[in-house]
Amino acid sequence: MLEVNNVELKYGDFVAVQDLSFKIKPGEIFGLLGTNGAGKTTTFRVIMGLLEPSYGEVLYYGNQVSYDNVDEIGYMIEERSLLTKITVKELLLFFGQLKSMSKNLILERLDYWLDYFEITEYKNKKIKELSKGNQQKIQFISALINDPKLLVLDEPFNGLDPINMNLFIKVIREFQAKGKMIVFSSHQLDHVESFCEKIVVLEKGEAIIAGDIKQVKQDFEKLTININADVDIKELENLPGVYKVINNTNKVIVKIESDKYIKGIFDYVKSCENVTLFDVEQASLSEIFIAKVGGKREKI
Amino acid sequence: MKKFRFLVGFGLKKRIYKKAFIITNIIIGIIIIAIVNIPNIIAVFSDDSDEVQVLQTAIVNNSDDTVYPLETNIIQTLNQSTEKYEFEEADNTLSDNQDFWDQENLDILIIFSGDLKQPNVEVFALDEDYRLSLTQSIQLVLYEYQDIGYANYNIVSPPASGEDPGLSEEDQMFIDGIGSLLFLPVFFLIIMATQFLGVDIIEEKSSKAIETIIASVPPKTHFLSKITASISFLLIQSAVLIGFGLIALLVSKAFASSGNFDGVSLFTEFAKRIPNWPILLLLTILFLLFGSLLFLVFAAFLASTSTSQEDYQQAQLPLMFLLLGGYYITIFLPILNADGLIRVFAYIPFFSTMVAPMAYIGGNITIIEAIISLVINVCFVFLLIYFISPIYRVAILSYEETKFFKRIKFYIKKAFSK
Repeated sequence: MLEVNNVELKYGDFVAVQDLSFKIKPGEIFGLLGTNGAGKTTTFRVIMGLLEPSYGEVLYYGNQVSYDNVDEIGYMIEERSLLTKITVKELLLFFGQLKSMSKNLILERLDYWLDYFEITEYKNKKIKELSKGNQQKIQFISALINDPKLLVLDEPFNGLDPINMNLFIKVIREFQAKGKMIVFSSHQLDHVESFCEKIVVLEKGEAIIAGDIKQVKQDFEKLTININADVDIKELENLPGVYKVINNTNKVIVKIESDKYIKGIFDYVKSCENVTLFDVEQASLSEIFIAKVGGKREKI
Repeated sequence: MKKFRFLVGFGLKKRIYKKAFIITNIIIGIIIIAIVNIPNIIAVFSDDSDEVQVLQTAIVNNSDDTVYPLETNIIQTLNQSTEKYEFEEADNTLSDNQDFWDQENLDILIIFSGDLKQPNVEVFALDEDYRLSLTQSIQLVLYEYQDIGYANYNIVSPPASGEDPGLSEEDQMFIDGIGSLLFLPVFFLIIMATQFLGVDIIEEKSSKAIETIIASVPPKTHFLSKITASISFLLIQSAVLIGFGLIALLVSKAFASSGNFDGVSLFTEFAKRIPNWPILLLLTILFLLFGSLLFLVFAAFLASTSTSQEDYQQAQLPLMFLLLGGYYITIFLPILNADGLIRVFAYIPFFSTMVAPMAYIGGNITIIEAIISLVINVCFVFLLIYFISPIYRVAILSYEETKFFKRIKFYIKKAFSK
């Protein structure tokens, strides 16, 4: 269990993270979301003990994160933090031994992961000779090599193509299935929805959305209705509860204030011809984020 | 401790198992062996007759009798006794030995006194090497002319002039020359070690790998491991250089068996001129060790506060000035006879690394004073480590791009804020 309790971090007068709290249980995937500069990396640095919080604490199975338990944690930072002049094998031996692993075990696991990511041929290549995507894979392996109980991934999907992104998600899911905790950050909110149970969305160091992702969506009353029918856009816009109508080539997207307005819209669509689609869906994380952040920024 | 040992080993392997290190040392080894053996190499390709040393020999006849045969035959006999030297009678204006030691163009002075039946022969020779052959030759000449029992002969060397047996001008020059001879490798070794350390830290920092490393080991462990790896590298490199020196001496010794230059004799000469050389060597090693530590701690601090290689190259300038300053003081102050300044610099950390051993050889400070200087140096090392460790902890993970002193001020404030 990882507990972040009321963590606050200040740089002089600047508040980088403000009163942040969340818990991650074994087998959970936790998303720390937010725009660039929202405080995600700072939060990870606090979790890893690289920065000391001005207030609050981070507990890993009830203890402070320290160099006594850090070998059980895998950490992948946002930028490619690799020593580029040495080979893949040398680098992983280096990072693995820093996690108190034996050479044999590192080599065994290295072979497994290189094979998993289909980059076995790069084992004895220097890091600087690899493509950015493959460097990203090596960095990911460096976080996995010690088979950590807690995996901390800062923007793991940055710069990845969809195939490699799915490969990364597959690994994360496998770790989840083994009962490990995964916390990752991303500013691409829509990627997160598909495999994340809990989230915190940060904006200027403050948690503006927090909790179970389903609950977050439920709490956000606004809905989206996808319609495919011969509707009159102006009539739709004038219906009660409708605050936005987008006329796409293949469907009309109607944004409504809450579920109590669904019936009125449904009755109108029913009266139109060639109805093939009427689908009500919850707002996406991006929509929720924009709505929340927009409101926050307006207040400022 | 296990991670500390691993980091030290990793840092060392990164330098020592490099092709650059191996190739550089092979080249350095060849150069050292070649330099020490240059006279031998030249001798191999030169005409043997060139090896004959011509000794200017002056003969003074203060005897009551004519000792013409002795005077004439002594040169012939001397030349017959050896092929290594050629004795050449020099024009002589000396009447006794008083001015002999100041003569630049005379190697030997032979003074006859008494009479032919019972002559007194005094021989003054500049070099010990040909004393033995001189003695034997004079004995031979005296045998030829009379019963040896009646002869008095005396070979005098070094001068019985009653001068102060202190350092001769030549010895003093030799000791002054030690500054550049002995401390040039020290200077380069420290430069190499600080460069390696700085580049190593900056490489990890600029690639952001430092964050992954510091997530696994405490900054203090990282800091101390870098310094330990660098000092170990420096000691290994020193040992390699000493090894090359010994090989060079042995090679020259092997050449010397055929009558050429002998490096071992050179070493013996060095030991003869500096009788307290074992203490000097020990002092130099200790000052090299702790002085280098001082430079390395400072270099680690500068590297931690830098964000890129270019940044570090600029930041390390004060370090280079300190190092160069120490080296130039070591070379030039003894030549300028600035004894007071040498004494002062011998106690100042950073400068004392090279100045103190030099001051000890030159007699500017005593062994006790040298030890006091060393203790000051050691204390300063620990003091510097004590103050720099917290700053290093803050700076190593920071990528502040503000002006250098503003940045340092920020790190110091942050490091000691709690």
